Amino acid sequence: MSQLPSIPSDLTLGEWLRADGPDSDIALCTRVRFARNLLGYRFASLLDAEESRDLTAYLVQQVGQLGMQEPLRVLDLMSMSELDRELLVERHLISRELAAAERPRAAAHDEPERVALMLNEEDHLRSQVFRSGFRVEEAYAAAEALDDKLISALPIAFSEEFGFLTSCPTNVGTGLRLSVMLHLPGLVWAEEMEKAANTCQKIHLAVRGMYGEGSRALGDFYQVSNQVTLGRSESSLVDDVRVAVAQLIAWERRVRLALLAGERRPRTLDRVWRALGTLQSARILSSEECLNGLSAIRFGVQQGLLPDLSAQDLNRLLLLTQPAHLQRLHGKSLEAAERDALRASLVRGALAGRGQGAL
Amino acid sequence: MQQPKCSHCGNARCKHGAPSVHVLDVAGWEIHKQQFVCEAIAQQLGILPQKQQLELSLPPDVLANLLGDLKPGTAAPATGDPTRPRPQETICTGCRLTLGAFKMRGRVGCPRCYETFRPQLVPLLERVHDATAHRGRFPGRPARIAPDPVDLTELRTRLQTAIAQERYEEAARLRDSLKKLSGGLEPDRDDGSGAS
Repeated sequence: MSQLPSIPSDLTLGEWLRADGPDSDIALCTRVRFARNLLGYRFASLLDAEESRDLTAYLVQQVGQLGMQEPLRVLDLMSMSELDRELLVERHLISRELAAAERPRAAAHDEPERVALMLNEEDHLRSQVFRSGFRVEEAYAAAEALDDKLISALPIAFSEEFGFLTSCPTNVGTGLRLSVMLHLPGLVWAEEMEKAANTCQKIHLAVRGMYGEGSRALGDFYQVSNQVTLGRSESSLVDDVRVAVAQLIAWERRVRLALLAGERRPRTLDRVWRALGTLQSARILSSEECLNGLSAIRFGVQQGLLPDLSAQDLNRLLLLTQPAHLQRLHGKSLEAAERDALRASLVRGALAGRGQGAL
Repeated sequence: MQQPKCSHCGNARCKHGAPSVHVLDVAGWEIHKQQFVCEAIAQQLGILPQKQQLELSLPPDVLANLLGDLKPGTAAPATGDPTRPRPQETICTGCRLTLGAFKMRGRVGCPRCYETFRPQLVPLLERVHDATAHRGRFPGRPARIAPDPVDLTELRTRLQTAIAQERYEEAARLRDSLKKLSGGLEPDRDDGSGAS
């Protein structure tokens, strides 16, 4: 996308938006997270500042000796600016909670952003593995291998009866959270998303917004993950998510075809071109309006309606229009109104002249 | 990205600081309600330990509504500081977390809490996970040779009942079975230590 400004190396697409995996037209990324705690320390919420510092220093030292294939970059979140922490949240490398906490804490990730560790989060250690697209088995295998390294290196709190012990009882047992980020505009436009979410909940899967717990489903992006962590083996939890997400993907594909056929086609095309027109012309764009517009355009790109745009272009815009990324691009902190104007300018430049030869 | 707002004072950042405490109300299968509160508010509510003694000024119905209770039908304590032990209240020897504080926070404080608060935790786990025992992998051991945790849980419950009813012969037998089933890894519970 030639109209985009030159992008600093730390703002390039991470694994979660690279969109080069299987089914990445709908499944952006697969993530596996393990929650672990250490013996010898109280859980994070009870630690005082000194204990937090000791724990974090110990974890940083041990993580540095893991012998990872890709070296990990360790980040002291205490000494980072709020903007830099927000940048990591937008890249899904750390949680919103870890970014906002005020205790000593750290994070680590590899260069391709396929592995990320959160140190002294709600649990002492949360390891995450990302794989672009819908790659549940591969992501799980990599996460388990990393977990094995951590278990060998650290005194992990484990009970034969309750499994891996976590601060919140909702995570105890396997401590596993497997989630797939899905783009489901078809189900939303066909008003079938509520039905899909209800179906997921009946089989104990959680459906959340783009940034996990508490976040809204902006831009028709949803995270589907296992809700239960205890009383089931890791492989059966992985299977549950894999089967359910495969069905959701198939459902979304069917609905997309239906939306582009017969009487529904004109309204669907109107949604896509209206969104393109708005984003090509707007002078002020909020995060929400931008995400919703990019969602409709992404639908158009994936369905072959806009051949002069690529999914990569759209994914890059999705990331760069997030507040912290925008401010990093601009090189300074910006008020919301300034961000909205800058966002509109960035998107206008990137989409200028696109969609001309389309249907 | 939008900063979460404090559910109590409504601000993304106020005199109490950023709302960095995430309160989850777990009901049935799912997280029923979730809120963010400022650290100072969280201390007032007993979610976080108090750095200094603060007056608990919120009315009890607000407390009960905001935090809920792990046990349906029971209200949060009407008065007093739930983080401070009441006479004969269960308290974890590993981290000094009181039962009241655990109920208010919905978080345990250390590995030993899982043993200390077992009577409250097991029903909660049953509701949240529809299970009370781990069936996943064991660190350092392949999962396939792990003992059946359902059997272990049942045996432990029977052992506790036998001890409580002073049926010591049966208790000894159950303890032997537990040790055998767990491959000699069953901890000795006489010292009060539990989950590790």
